[in-house]
Amino acid sequence: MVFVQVGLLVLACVIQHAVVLVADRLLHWNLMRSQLASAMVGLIFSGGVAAVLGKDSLWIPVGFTVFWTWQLFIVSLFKKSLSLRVLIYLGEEPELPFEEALKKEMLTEFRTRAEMLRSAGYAQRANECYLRGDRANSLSATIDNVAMRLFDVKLGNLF
Amino acid sequence: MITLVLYMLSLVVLIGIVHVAALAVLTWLPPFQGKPMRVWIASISLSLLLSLIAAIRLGPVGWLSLGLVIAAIPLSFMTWSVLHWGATVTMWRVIRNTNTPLDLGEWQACVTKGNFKGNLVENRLILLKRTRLVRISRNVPGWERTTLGNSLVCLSRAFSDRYPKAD
Repeated sequence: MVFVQVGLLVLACVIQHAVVLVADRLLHWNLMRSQLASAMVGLIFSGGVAAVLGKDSLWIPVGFTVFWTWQLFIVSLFKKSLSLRVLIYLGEEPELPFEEALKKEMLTEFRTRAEMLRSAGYAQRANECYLRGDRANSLSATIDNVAMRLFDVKLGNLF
Repeated sequence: MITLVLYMLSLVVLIGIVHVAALAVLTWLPPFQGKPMRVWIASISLSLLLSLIAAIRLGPVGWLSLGLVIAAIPLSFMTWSVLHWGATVTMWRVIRNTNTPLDLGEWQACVTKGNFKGNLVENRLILLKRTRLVRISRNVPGWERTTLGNSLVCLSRAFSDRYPKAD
C-alpha cells in the first residue's frame, strides 16, 4: 500500500511539472500563473487520491505541497536571482567589460519593472518621466505600508 | 476526514500566527535590530520547534501539520526577502515617496542611492565568492567562474530560456 501511495505522490509531481511545461512553453504564461495553475491541478489530484484511499493517505497532498513550495523556491531562484545574473554575465560577454554588461542588463530589467509598476497602477508615466500612481495610496499600499513599519523595512537594503 | 483536515489546518494557521508575531517582536529586539535574516531564522526555528512539539504530542495530525509548516518555509522566506531586499518593492517605495516626476535614470539613482555600478556588483561578487561560485582569475585581472559556478550556469539554462549563451 505504501508503494502505491508513494507512486501516486510521484505521479502528482509529474502531473504538476507537465502542467508547468504546457503553461510555460505552449501558453506562454508567466511564472506565478503557471505555477499556481500547476499547484491547483496537483492538489486536486492528490486531494482526490486521499479522499478515495482514506485518512491514511492524507500525507500525499501534504507531501505534494512540500514538493511544490520547494520546487517553486528553486525555480524562482534560478529565474529571478540577481546574483545568478552576475554569475552568468561573468565570462559570457567578452566584448564588454563585465560591469558595463551588467549595467546594460540591469537598465533593461529596471525598465521592465518600472513598466510593471505602471501597469499595476502604482506609477504613471508622463512623457519619459514617472510619478506616483493612483494606487499608491490604495488599501493594498496601506497594508504594505503597515508591514513595512511593523517589520522595520529599510529603504535601500538591497544596495 | 474533514475534521482531521480542519484540525490540521487550524494548527498550521496557529503556528503561522506565532511565526508572524515572532517576526514582528524580534525585529525590535536589540540583538536582532537591523538584521532581517537573523530575525527570520530565529522566527522560523521557533515555528519548527513548536510544530515538532505538536507532532510529538498530537501524533499523525501533528506530523501532517509539521509537513505543511516545512512546505511554508520557502513561501515565508520569499515574502520576507521581497519585503526587505525586493528591487520592485524598493522602486515602488521610492516613487510613492517622491512628489516630482522622475525619469528612469533619476529613479534608478534614487533606488540605488547612486551606487549602482560599484556597490551592487561588489556586493554580489562577495556573495558569489563566499559560496565558491567565482574566484579571482589566475590568468587575467578580474574574476572567473569556478567549476561549481559553471555547473550552476549550465543548470540555470535548463530551468530558463532567459539566459541565452553568448555567440
